[in-house]
Amino acid sequence: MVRFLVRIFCAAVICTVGITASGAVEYKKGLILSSPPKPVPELEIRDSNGQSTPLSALVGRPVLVNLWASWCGPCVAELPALDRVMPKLQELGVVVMPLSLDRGGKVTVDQTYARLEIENLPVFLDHQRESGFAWEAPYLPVTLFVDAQGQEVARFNGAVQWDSPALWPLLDAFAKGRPLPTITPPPLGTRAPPP
Amino acid sequence: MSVFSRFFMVVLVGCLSWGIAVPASAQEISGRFLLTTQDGQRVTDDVFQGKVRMVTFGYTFCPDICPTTLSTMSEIMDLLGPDAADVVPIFISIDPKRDTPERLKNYLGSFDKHIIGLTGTGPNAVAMTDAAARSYNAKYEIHPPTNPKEPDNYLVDHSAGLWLMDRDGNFVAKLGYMTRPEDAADRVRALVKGQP
Repeated sequence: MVRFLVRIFCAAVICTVGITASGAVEYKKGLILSSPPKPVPELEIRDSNGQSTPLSALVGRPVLVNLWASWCGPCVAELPALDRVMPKLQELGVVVMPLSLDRGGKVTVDQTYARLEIENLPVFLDHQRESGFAWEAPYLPVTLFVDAQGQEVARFNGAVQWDSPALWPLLDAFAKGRPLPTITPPPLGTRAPPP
Repeated sequence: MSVFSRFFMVVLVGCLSWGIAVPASAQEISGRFLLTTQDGQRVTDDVFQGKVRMVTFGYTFCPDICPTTLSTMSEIMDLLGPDAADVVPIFISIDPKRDTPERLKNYLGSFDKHIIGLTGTGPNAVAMTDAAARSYNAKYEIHPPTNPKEPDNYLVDHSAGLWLMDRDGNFVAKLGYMTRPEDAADRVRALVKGQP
């Protein structure tokens, strides 16, 4: 049994090297800090009125961009927590941008928001559904932390309990433009208001 | 679980989810299957004879992250324009226990309307999807539930990417998971026009 495991393990390691050698995008769940911060390629983002809302227009304020889709269960599961924490983030000057990749556009987003009883989150659409490639996000959900200079300083791969107190030091530091602490993502289902 | 076992699982999960699997030759991939569509019809691969096929494997219950493969597949169909009429996009579930035809139909409603969802049904459901995966040399592993009290909450690791089959059902190429839709559409369009 041990030899079998070792054999598979070796094959797995070879596969991992292959991934790196092939230049494929690395992916791991949780918080990933970008050091140094990296530019965020521009996308055609539209708001609920169909108006173009480029990220570059938001330079000067930190932006939390949450990539999601209605067909993605973990995305839908984390939206209510993001909705609850949004007013607190707004107070700190953070723009919260839930960016939908749904082909159904605004109608699908509206239906999902209604079902989840979302009260605060605005509607933003990745009009050409290009964020996955442009922002190297092959899985959903992914949340980009874009600082006031328009640079990505971190991203969160996977779903997270956005209103967990354990996450607040990260959100607070992001809002204030301070170095981000490394934290362990609070699991979904840990409901509590931010301090 | 020992540290070694945990590390081993993490690495294996990474490899499987990225679809960097054993290189497959055309001889190893027959692309044969007998499965049930999202509309409840039993079909074999012969049903799609004469059409170029674009095949991917997966499952609809993603507990913590969701791959964007079907979204990409939908983009490819959009990019193909009129040529899409000669292409059948196929999603084969390797989780027939949870992915019933009804579930597939509901899930696929979020993507291109031409995508055919296939799963196993009846007493041989698992054998059906397992045979289909083997015929494409697709790897997958169903993990035990993380919580014994929730037996239907489990992970499935699987090969990613798109398998391209020509009009006669012969394997032509496997496109990697992060192949850009534009590049994939060019490759599929060439197949539609009879170019390998």
